[in-house]
Amino acid sequence: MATAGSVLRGAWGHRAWTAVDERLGLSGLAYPVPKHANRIGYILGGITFFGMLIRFGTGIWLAQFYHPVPEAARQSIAYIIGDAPLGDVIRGVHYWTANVVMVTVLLHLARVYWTGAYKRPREANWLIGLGLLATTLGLLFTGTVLKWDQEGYEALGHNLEMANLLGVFGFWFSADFAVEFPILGRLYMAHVVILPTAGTLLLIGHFLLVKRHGISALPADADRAVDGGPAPATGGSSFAAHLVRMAGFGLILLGAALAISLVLSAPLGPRPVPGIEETKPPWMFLPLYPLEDWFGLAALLWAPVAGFAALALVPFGDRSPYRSPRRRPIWIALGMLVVSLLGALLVYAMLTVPQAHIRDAM
Amino acid sequence: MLRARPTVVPIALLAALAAAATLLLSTLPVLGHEGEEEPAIALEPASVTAGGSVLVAGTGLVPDTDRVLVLAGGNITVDFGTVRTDAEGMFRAELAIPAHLPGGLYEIRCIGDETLVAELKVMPAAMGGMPTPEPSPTSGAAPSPGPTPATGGAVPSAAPTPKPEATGPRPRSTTELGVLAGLALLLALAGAVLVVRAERLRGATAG
Ligand code: HEM
Repeated sequence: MATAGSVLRGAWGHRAWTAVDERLGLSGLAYPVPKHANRIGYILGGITFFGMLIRFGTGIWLAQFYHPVPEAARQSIAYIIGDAPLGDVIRGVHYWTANVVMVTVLLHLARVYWTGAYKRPREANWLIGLGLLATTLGLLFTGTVLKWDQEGYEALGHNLEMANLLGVFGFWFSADFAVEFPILGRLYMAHVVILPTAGTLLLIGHFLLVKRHGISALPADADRAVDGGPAPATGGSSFAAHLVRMAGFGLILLGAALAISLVLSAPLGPRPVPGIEETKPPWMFLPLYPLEDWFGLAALLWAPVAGFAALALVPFGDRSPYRSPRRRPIWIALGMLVVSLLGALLVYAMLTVPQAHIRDAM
Repeated sequence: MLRARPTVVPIALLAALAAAATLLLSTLPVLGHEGEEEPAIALEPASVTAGGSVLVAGTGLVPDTDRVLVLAGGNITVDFGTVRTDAEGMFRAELAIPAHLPGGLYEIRCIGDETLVAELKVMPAAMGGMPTPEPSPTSGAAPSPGPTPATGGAVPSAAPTPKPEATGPRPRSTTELGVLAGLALLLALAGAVLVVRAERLRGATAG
């Protein structure tokens, strides 16, 4: 198997790699990497992973200055923007990377769906992926509340409504669960401890399964094998080349986020005013917004539940052995229908005026 | 060629999902938007360190009418003067909580045809909880109404801010900006080199 030793050519590089690998067993992580795995569509998961690393690093910096109590939270963010060492830039990188990661997660999911890579034996990894999608959304939601501006406060209002909708199961989302400790503090803990830990554990499982199954063959090659053709090649590139390529994209992402942060800072809205609703949620939650208008707050709970349930059922519904989009017309049409619907809801929500759904968050 | 099974299964699944979703949605109470709102006031935050400020917002009140805002607790009363509701029956005001107010539970009262009450928890300034990350623009320095009745109807006001709050990118010297922009470019370039060379540096083609 090709390792970093073969990428870092030359005697010194090779010896250094061997010395490190002998002690840390890094080559044990390697798995066969086919050539197509270095295409952009197949490296989106890797870009997402490096985006997560960037968020980890910048998040630790921000945590040094953030104050998770209602009376000081927003002010501490103003301090981060105005005074903390490199605060505005680091916060910008954290925020813009989070947005990019949301896009790359969705594109990664779309690639897996398009190429039918959720099929046997990768059903479980698809489900773990859904868990990762949920933690990504959870991080974006809690991050929005932490700002404690009008937008964050309204997001919290929806969090509390969710507690009501869930009844007894919603205790964690309710401010009454721990009256001595402001709910902002608990959402902060979710943002910096619970969700990152859950995400890390899921990611370990995700990667272990990618290593176990290898990256899926190109759909056309896989289908040929189903029809009695030759088995697709599992190698062609190397794990190290794959990793270096991911890291390259990660650095580009970091550079781009830094450049954007110098011109466009992460938003911080006005101090929250209880009892009014005048902001719209961040774009990834925006498709839910018209549903909330039409069907009431309950849609905020049922629409995501239905969406995740439908996604979870995909590998168990689409059971033909074929993976090419051409051979799965119904599933591809279904996917496109869902994407178009979400797009239409997003545009509609962007064009409408904010409406009040809840009277009083607290 | 499409086999029968892969076509039938998704259609059945889709139909079942659609039916389940319709059933679910039709049984849900349609909450929609509020019609008549109950008069109410709310505070943000609901607990504050003495010397800080708190936002009070009223909704569902009679439009274009006056309300008196008062903080009361123990035998202390602080009069914040009057506010006027807008055409929608809403108002908002920022109240500077006196720095020397003892800690404890107080009430913010909004007095008009009806009296609306919201609870405010005040932490004593001396203990101050945790240090705030910047010298709070509202701590101590804010001219606040005294803790005695009727201080002359001071209109609730925003506490003076020593410097405008930064919400955009910081103004930077050309050098600093240059270094940061250079760093961004360097990172992106290094990334691009890795992306391109990863393919070329690929070693043995073994899997
Ligand atoms: C934090 C989010 C995620 C990260 C960091 C991540 C990372 C990765 C990586 C690095 C791979 C290797 C191949 C590739 O890059 O395409 C991969 C494969 C895979 N991921 Fe994810 N992923 C995430 C979310 C998801 C989601 C949301 C799904 C779907 C629901 C998903 C399903 C899969 C599947 C089925 C594979 C195997 C694909 C194949 O072999 O072609 N992942 N993931």
